[in-house]
Amino acid sequence: MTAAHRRVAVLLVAVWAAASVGVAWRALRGLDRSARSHEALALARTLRGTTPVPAWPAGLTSGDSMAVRTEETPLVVRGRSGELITAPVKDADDWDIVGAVGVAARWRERAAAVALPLAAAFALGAMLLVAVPTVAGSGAAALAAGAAAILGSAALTTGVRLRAAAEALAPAGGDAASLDRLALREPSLALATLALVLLAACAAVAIGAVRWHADTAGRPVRVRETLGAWGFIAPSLVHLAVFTIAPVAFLLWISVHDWDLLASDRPFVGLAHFRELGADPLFWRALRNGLVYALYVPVTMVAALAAALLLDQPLRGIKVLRVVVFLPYVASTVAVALVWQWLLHRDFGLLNAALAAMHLPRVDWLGNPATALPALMLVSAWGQLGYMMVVYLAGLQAIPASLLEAARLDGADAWQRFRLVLWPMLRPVSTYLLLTGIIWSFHGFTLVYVMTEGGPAHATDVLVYRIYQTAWEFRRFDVAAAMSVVLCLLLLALTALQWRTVKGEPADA
Amino acid sequence: MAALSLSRLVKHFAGGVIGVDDVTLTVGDGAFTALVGPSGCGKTTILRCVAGLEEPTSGEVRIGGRDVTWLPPRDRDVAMVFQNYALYPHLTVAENIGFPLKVRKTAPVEAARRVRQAAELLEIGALLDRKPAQLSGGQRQRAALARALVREPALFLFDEPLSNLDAQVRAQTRAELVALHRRLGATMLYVTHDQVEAMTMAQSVAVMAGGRVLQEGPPMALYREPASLAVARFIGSPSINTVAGRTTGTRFEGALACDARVGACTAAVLAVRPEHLVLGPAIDASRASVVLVEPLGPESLVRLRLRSGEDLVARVPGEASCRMGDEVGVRVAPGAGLCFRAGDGARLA
Amino acid sequence: MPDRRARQALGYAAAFVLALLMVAPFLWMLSTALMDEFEVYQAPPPLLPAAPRFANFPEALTALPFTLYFRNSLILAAATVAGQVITAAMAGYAFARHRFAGRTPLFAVYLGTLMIPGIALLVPRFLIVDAMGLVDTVAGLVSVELVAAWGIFLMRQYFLSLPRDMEDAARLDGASEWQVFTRVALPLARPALATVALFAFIDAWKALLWPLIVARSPNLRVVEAGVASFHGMYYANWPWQMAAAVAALVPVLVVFLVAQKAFLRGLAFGGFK
Ligand SMILES: Nc1ncnc2c1ncn2[C@@H]1O[C@H](COP(=O)(O)OP(=O)(O)OP(=O)(O)O)[C@@H](O)[C@H]1O
Ligand SMILES: [Mg+2]
Repeated sequence: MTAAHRRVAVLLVAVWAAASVGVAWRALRGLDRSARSHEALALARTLRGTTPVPAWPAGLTSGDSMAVRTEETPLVVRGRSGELITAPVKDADDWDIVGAVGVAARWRERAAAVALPLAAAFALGAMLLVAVPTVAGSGAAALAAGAAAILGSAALTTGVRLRAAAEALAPAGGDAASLDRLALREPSLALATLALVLLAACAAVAIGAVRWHADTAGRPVRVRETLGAWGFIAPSLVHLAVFTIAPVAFLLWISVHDWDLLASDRPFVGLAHFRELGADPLFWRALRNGLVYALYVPVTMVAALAAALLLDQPLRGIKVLRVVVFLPYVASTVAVALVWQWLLHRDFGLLNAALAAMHLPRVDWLGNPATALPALMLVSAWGQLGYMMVVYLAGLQAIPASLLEAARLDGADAWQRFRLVLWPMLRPVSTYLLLTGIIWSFHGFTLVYVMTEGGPAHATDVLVYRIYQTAWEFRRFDVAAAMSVVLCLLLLALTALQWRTVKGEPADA
Repeated sequence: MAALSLSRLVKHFAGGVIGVDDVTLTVGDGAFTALVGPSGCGKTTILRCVAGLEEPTSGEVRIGGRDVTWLPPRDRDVAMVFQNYALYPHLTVAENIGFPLKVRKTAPVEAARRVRQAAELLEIGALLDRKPAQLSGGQRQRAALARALVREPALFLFDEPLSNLDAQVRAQTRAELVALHRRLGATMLYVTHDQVEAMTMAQSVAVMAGGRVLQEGPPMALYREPASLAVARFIGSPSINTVAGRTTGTRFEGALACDARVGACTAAVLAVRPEHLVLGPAIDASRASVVLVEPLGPESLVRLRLRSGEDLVARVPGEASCRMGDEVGVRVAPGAGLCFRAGDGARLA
Repeated sequence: MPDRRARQALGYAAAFVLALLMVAPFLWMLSTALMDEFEVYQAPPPLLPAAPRFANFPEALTALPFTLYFRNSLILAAATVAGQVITAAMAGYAFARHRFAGRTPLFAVYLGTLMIPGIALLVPRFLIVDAMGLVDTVAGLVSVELVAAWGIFLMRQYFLSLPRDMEDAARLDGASEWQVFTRVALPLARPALATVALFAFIDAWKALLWPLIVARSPNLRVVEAGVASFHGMYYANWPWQMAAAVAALVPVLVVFLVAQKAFLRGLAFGGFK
């Protein structure tokens, strides 16, 4: 890229930034004071019933767990951060009031007010720098243009959003019907997507600017390389920070606070949620179910090892088998759950038909608390058998034949050869399979969700399913968080154990 | 075209490994300089510093007078041919050669023309649609060469480009590279650990050891007047004969003796090229027994063992007159003995 | 000799039984999907439909808006594949090839995230996505799985196993760092990219829990959730359920069969997730 191209590119970015500043300004300018405090995103979010409206007026009661019922006429209340409007929301048939919406002024509006002049200044700076071409200025111009683009587009999305909200809500506090329409149209979808795309584009521009600056400037290689490498890592790092690292801290925080959807204060409660769990027989039941469920792993391993021993010889068509055994893993789990539910059907299932043919009594596999969990274990074992067999087969084939021949010459019989040679050699593989298998058994959700819904009588209730129910059906996020902490610790311990063994012995597979 | 100059170049790697230790070297505009030295002496490291693939710890790299020490590789206008050719396996030969033009956004028509031209120059015009995996070693080498010269860089770097070829192709390519150099008039820095390659191809040879340049000069100057024992040992094949002893100021005394006006009385090493050993009757000469005679056609190598136990090689024209087991006298041709100080190997005379 | 023969016969028998065991439920699924709604209610059940009823497929797939669900699943899978492949390639490349300030601690952090079970983070992830206003949006649906630490490690290992000379040659040829990455490193890493993409696709296609909690509105439902809710609505109509299940299977099976090699390579990396 030549210097001229570069200048043109910087100029384009700066112009784009300036244009977004202009549009954002226009969008924000026409808003009247009351309308400006309503924001579509917050509106939709409140509709979902997960974020409390600040300063929820006293006298409103929360009805069922999904939504809040209010009077039919819209209310205008003064909240901490400006006006607040609440209005009833009807369901799609216009029949029942299923919730309320609340709209409040947010920090965004103020942030946009700051971002606008800043973006304008940066854009102007970038253009000036381009107009006066110096070697030193080209990198600075790129950075300024990037900053202007980010701020400008942030202001733009905010402005557009506020405008949309204002137009949808106007006249403020007036007509309930228009509020309904707004809420049910879910204005947040398109806008949020737009915002995300714009943000991603800006991030790309910024990274590109930094990289490109770094590439051309006469800096030490190390600085250049560090900048470049961080640019390469930035996308995944941002994601990990937001969706893995922050959630860990947040999880711990929630688990020791009261997280009531409708209360604005979230007091610290210490270990109260954990104590609640300790006193909850269902939690213990789920934990025990999970441990029993995990037993399918060693059982399947034994079968897989047996199969591998039989198959460890030159056989034709083994490659096909190697593909076929993975079908249960790649197949959609819901589909697998459905077909097994059908196979295990009490009256018309194939399995019971087979039992009947052998004059054995029919079993109500999924309906009987005594057999429901074993039935799920059977399905899981079916899903894992092939994979474990392939891993064992690879392990067997890695054992040098000379070892077995030596043992044979020493007069060891088949069982001794297995016990003294094969089994010790397969130990790392077995440990790996056992630990990863148990870890993954605790992730199982789909089978329970589709086949038994935790029943009958909580016989198949496992931790993940309880967390799901507690949070998304009973709306007790704090208790679910406490449960997640327990699950997390359990799995961390298992993972640590697995990593220790991996470090200790060369893991196969 | 441009001259290359390195001044006080130092490169330390993590963990205290010294790659290059204070190297100052100049390759004149249009010159062909070879860097030779034993494995691990820092030849590749110097090339990588010149190319910008490695950041020097200190020192300066100038190309055509411009300080490029901190410039990224692509701004240095340098091309390099790697030992394993480093052709892009997913691209055809044409695309490989055209790659430098493509990333520099040369117009496609112009790029195609130059690719064809480079390919024809190296006689691989018929292979343009193949992938590197479908080429022989020599063809790959040519493709790599074509990729280097298609963009007409200021400086060519070669990192042992012939070491993966068999002997015959290597000899042929050697000659072609020299011809190419003459034709392009380009500045070239050529790394090899094969001193024959360096001697036959380069106008100037720099001998390296332990990260330092021991001596630089035209091949024959290095051969005749090595500045140190290490250089004397490295240059020449078969390598130079050495014998320990003392200088007396006018003579060297040891298992071999010869005139050596060095003015110092000290422990020393005498080095004599194989062709400078004169075999004759055992009168007034050191006695040696013939261990092996290797006839090479135009000349013969005679391997000898002195009474005192040192092994020597003598090169005699035509067929040797002695046979295995003979006792012969060995003398140093007048003025041909090189004396080096025993401790550091510095040249005495 | 007879001993070896017997062993081989036993081996074939085991292979046959195993293969049958693995395939039988799928065959049964297909067979049931072609039966009449009431044909299945017989004891003993018929193994094959009396007359294959292909109409089950269009009927089942229009009883709920499955086209929409397939579209959503495809969006989810495409975004997951794109996100994971891009980020894994970039970060894996940086970790394998660049020396930079902070690499060691950063790498430790990445390793650490590999240990944390994602399933335990459902609640905070959901609340964070909610706070961003992304619940019930496509962005929220795809957000959490856009990066996989596993893929980053696979790519890093793969890049480490590749020679660096090609990249250096590209640098000298005038490529910028970005061009070195996209024009040389990435094409060379194609097999590893395919593996990351394949596992990302399978995982995204099979995802149920996250779509269930974050995409509550019916028009954001993915196939898995769609089939699950179909199961609740047509509880008694097994042929329809099986038809829906077969339809849900097809894309992922096709992808798997096309890309077996990449699958086995991922497995060799310990990538059974
Ligand atoms: N990236 C590196 N990190 C640490 N040490 C290195 C690195 N690269 C080279 N070295 C060390 O620097 C020294 C010089 O290496 P270099 O590759 O320049 O040798 P060379 O002369 O090219 O050898 P050869 O003829 O075998 O190619 C060696 O001791 C080598 O081990
Ligand atoms: Mg080298």
